[in-house]
Amino acid sequence: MNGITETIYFTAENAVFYLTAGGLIGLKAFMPPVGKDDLAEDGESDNSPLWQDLGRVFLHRAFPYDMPDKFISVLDKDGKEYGMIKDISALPEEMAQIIRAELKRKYFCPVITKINTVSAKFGYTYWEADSDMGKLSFSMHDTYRNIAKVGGNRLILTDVDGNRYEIKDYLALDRKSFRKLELYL
Amino acid sequence: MLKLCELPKAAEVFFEQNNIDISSALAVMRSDMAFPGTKADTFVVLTKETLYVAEGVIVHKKGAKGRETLFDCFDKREYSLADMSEPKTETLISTARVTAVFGTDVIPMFDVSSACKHEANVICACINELKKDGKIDEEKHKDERSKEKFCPKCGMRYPDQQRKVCPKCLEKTKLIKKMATLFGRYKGFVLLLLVAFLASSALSVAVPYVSNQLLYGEVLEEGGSMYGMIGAVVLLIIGVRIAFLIINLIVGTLSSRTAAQVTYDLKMLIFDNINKLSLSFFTSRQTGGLMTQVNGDSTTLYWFFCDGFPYLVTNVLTLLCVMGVMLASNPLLTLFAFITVPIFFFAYKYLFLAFDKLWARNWARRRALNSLISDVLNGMRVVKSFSRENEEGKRFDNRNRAHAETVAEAGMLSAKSYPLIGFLLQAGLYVVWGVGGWQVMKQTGNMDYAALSAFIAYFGLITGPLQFFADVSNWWSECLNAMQRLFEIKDSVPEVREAENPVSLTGVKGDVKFDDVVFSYEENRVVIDHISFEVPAGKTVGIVGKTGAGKSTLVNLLTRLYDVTEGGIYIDGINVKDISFKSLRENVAIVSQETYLFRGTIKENIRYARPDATDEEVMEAARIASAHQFIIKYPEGYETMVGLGGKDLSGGEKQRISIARAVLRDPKILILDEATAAMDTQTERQIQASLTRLAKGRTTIMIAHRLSTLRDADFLVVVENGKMPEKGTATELLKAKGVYYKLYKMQAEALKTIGIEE
Ligand SMILES: Nc1ncnc2c1ncn2[C@@H]1O[C@H](COP(=O)(O)OP(=O)(O)O)[C@@H](O)[C@H]1O
Ligand SMILES: [Mg+2]
Repeated sequence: MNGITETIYFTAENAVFYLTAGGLIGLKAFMPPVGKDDLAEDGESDNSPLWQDLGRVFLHRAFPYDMPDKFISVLDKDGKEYGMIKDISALPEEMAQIIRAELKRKYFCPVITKINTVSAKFGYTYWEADSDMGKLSFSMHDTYRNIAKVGGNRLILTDVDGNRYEIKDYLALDRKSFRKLELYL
Repeated sequence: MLKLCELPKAAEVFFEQNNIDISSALAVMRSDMAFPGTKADTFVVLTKETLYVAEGVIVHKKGAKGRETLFDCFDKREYSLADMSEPKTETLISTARVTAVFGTDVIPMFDVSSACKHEANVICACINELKKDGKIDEEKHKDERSKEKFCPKCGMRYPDQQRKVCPKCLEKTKLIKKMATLFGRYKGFVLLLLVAFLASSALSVAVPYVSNQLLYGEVLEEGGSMYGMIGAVVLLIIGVRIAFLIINLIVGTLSSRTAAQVTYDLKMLIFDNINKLSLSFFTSRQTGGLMTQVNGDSTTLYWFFCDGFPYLVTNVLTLLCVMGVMLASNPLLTLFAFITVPIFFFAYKYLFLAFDKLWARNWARRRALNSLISDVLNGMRVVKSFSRENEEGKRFDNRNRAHAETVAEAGMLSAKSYPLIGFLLQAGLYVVWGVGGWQVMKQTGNMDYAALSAFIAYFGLITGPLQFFADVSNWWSECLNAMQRLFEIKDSVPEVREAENPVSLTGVKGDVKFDDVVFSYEENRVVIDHISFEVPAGKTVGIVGKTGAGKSTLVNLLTRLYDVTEGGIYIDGINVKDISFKSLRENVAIVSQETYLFRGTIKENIRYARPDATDEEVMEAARIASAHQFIIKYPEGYETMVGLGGKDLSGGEKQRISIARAVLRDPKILILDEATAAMDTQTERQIQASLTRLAKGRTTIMIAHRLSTLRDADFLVVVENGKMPEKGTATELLKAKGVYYKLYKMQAEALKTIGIEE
């Protein structure tokens, strides 16, 4: 099945990820010319790869839960894919670092370490919890449906505003926290 | 100043210390995040020239003057409006980043979480307004002031911005009043019920009186006033019993009837209102569950009014009567009798919590089990074709076992605890036996055997009500919740509303004009971006563009399924917003992409558009839509049942019935939204021919992705990403070599490869 579609994988050889003036991710890459029309007039334009500065690019995880560091899609501002990063750790250290930082920002999600109180009232639940980013307090609606089990024992909670909170392993929570959470699983 | 948040004193002080004049600020907002994605308190102040961002945390400290609140700033930045362009919020997974272009660089200015995304959008809009007009139109943003996001009473942020209901301050009395108005129509019944309740309570006290006090004290006791009249007393006992029975029968029938009638009224009111609501109400909620929820909630109410309410009233009355009688006959003993009641209440509450948790878990696991079953059954084809039966079996086994465990747990808990609860409830009785018996023996406190036996019987009467009261609070809160949800639907106001003095159209010509129309379903994502074009009466316009370009949205705005955000749409020069719904529906008919047939016969479905159409007209419409040929082949012809549970029609057949429906309407303006997309080319050609004849004398808007469908259009409008890059006749557009030309070439090439040239 290989080779039916062509995907560019960005590696240390064909790509340089850098920080733009605003601290966002930019990319210089060795790849077929970008921005040419798919339906060029003559139909036989020159498609041989060359080095280009693509400017700001956007990153998106293909498997955000199972493989947060692998298969990162690199997109333009309209969401069209330039190519993929197979594995961030295969890139030079400083590039890997800036990419990880950007992804961390994009997938911002406090990790809940302890649940202090959960109270239910009129169809809403009110949560007080500790997280790696300090104390959290949020409310959820339709609680069962907004707690998603993602792979194994990981949970993602989505509150009424659309903010997300992660519980890495709900079985590893302390007994009291687990008891509070359990009702909504 | 546009206050998108209340600026805390500490933050105000901070800005003053940094020589930023808050009083001259045009807008302020607060974000709960700071760079690079941490929880913080960030304040954003917009002045005429500058956007100030201060990131930090609000800290409470013990200072010299007692408790102090400080804004501990760890970064402050400022951005000059003069250098800034294209401010916007970039949506990340669950947060957002507000950026702007400075020179050639995109610079992030501040971060917000989902909770503040809306405010960030308003700030960006304000910056754009400032740069364009030099001022902010505060009127326009009035609705977005912070106060509306918070409960005016307790100041808590509404948990759900769409619902604007503060669960803390939910006005129970108001809800109950609303409910009471529904009962108002049945005043007579309710009054009768109350009288019956009273009688039933009084009789319930009379029963033990007659069968104990009277029997032992007056009849069996030598020297009693009715000594020896055993026959009479037995008759009396039976009589009281029967009267009690009859009254309960009346209460039962009356309350079931009234409750059923009231819930019926409520459902009717709700359904009426649902029909009036705009489409956005349904897309913003999980509609699938809407009617189920309405039904479930009304059932909750029904049982409460039918079962709970009569019990509540009779129990309160009984409790009062019995306590009165008990106190009158022996105050000291009454005190002893109630001594264990608080313990019972505590134990009951505690147990209830335990059960609640167990049942919640049980419910969750049963749901998981059921969803697996329906998933597998619905996907049986897939399961079989990939031979995954064993794996599914294992999954089922796991969930089944988990569910069985909770059932066993709950069963065990109830087996253990109910006898205990029963014992606690009865404990008062043992005290009464002891103390009362002692009083009888000592001849104190005016006690004799008859009085004691009546007393014990009274005590038996109150155990029921006590248990009920321990239970009713949970029931009551469940019921309030249901009421709240029902009234919320009943009282919601449609977003698309008819004008106050709507214009009725007569003699419509059919000129349609889109004037600089802007529309977005959700904030931050414009779906229609400044589109203007005109269709003269009687002409046919074709709208082309890729899927997702916004074509359907554009025509839905004309039919007012949604309302435009900016600009206007006019029919014969009259804004559609001013036209009465009736006129609009009469003159504009749409055959939409999503065909829907109601349960019923084909004839009923076509006639839906105009119930007074004759059978000839129905058939004529079906002929025009090329539907007649296939309908007539069915054994039941036009009387074939379709829709849910009826005959399965193919996509193309459904579309043809939908077209017939619109044709029958005979509208001045006809919209065909990919109405022929699911048909083979030959059928499409056929319909096309008759539609072209039909299009004479009426304005037609035709959407198609197959360009050949639009051959007969007078001119074409090209939509791409919500914008309109081109319009003109097909020939003009081909010459211009723009978007249309590309589309055309692509389709022509596709045809060439299979040997057809157009
Ligand atoms: N009810 C809705 N709520 C939110 N977005 C919608 C809704 N309906 C359509 N959209 C979005 O609006 C855009 C235009 O859709 P539509 O008008 O149906 O496109 P077209 O008919 O041209 O294929 C699409 O990106 C679609 O995802
Ligand atoms: Mg469409």
